[in-house]
Amino acid sequence: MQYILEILPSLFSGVVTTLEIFALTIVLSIPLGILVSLALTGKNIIKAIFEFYVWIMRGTPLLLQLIFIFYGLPIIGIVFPRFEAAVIAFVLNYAAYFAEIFRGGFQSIPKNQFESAKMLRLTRWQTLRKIVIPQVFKIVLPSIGNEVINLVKDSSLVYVIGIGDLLQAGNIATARDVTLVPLILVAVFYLILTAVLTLVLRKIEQRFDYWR
Amino acid sequence: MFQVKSLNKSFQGKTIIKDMNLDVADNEILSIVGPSGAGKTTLLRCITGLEKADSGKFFLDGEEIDPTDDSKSVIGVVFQDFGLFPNLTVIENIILAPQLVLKKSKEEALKEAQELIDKLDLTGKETLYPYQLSGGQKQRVAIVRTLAMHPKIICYDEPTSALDPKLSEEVGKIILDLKKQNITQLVVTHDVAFANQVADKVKEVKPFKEEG
Repeated sequence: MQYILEILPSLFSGVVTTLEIFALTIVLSIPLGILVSLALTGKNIIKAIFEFYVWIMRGTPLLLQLIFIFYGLPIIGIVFPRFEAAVIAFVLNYAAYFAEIFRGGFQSIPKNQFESAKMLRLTRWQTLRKIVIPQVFKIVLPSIGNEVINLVKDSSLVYVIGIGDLLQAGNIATARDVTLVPLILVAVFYLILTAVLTLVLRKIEQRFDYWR
Repeated sequence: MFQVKSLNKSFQGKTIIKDMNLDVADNEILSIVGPSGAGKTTLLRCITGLEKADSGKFFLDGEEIDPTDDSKSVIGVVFQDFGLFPNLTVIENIILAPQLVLKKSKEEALKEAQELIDKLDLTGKETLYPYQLSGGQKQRVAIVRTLAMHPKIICYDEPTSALDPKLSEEVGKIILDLKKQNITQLVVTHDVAFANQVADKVKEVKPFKEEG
């Protein structure tokens, strides 16, 4: 118990870093994903460019992307600080997944919704804002939730570029003190984080349950 | 007076509508009947501008109109599957376009909507969502939503296909009742009995066969 109290502060500061990366990625990658998904349903060349982007982001390991941005890009003179490099990698990667989720959502809106809106003479933007986006949001919520949970755990990959997140804090303590306790605590922290998020996501889904 | 002159429409080389002419007087109800595949729905979609005609002209009171021009469309549609917006309540479905497109104040839009709701026997359903309504109620909401935009012409696509005989008779009454309001109505249906119940004129369409 004494030992747990001793290592808790370092674990907590790791949690803070993990949450920072998590929050920034969510806040930036979801809007970016929506924009990319609109581009994916767009015209030829723009569509091709963004399909290529999604292919790269989903087709290579996130770990490679992190290493590429932090250790690779400086070779050609592009240098990002650690934390910024991590956020850029996560946002680019998750936006690609979110884009595919939103694209699926947009495509599952029945054609009659667009035609009704057209016959009521709503503009394209009014149709999107009042009718399509609210419906897409409800459709994609479960999939978004999945990615959100994934992101909490994926954020541990930042240890590879030397960021002191939760996992790294536990790893250091285990190596130093030769005990399993820090790693078990790390697991408990992740479980608490994902449990809280699961609850929050369920609440959000329930809030959108008023129509079917 | 609504006129269609020498309308042609084909899909991928297959002629659907060949040199079609229509004349409908003000307040008149025209039924368009015919078997499946005869091009009834295609005709309706050309008239409503959801499909662009290959050639042909449309006239309202002697003036040529372009149904695909959303900015001043005078044509409303009640779709076969109603096309209600599931994320909006009955009243929101109805007042959305009057507020956004006709720029009515909320009070004015609500007042007009309520009159129509009461008239079409939907009183008390204002705050329900479409999934909470029966087929006949959904259809009446769709009719009210169309009426709230003050169209000169209303088109119905298979209005009885989702209704039992008693409800078919009711919607027939509604259509007949709307004659008094200076509205021209076009009813596409395969239900000959219903066509005879409501129509002043019946136009039969047959599947087009290439000659020779």
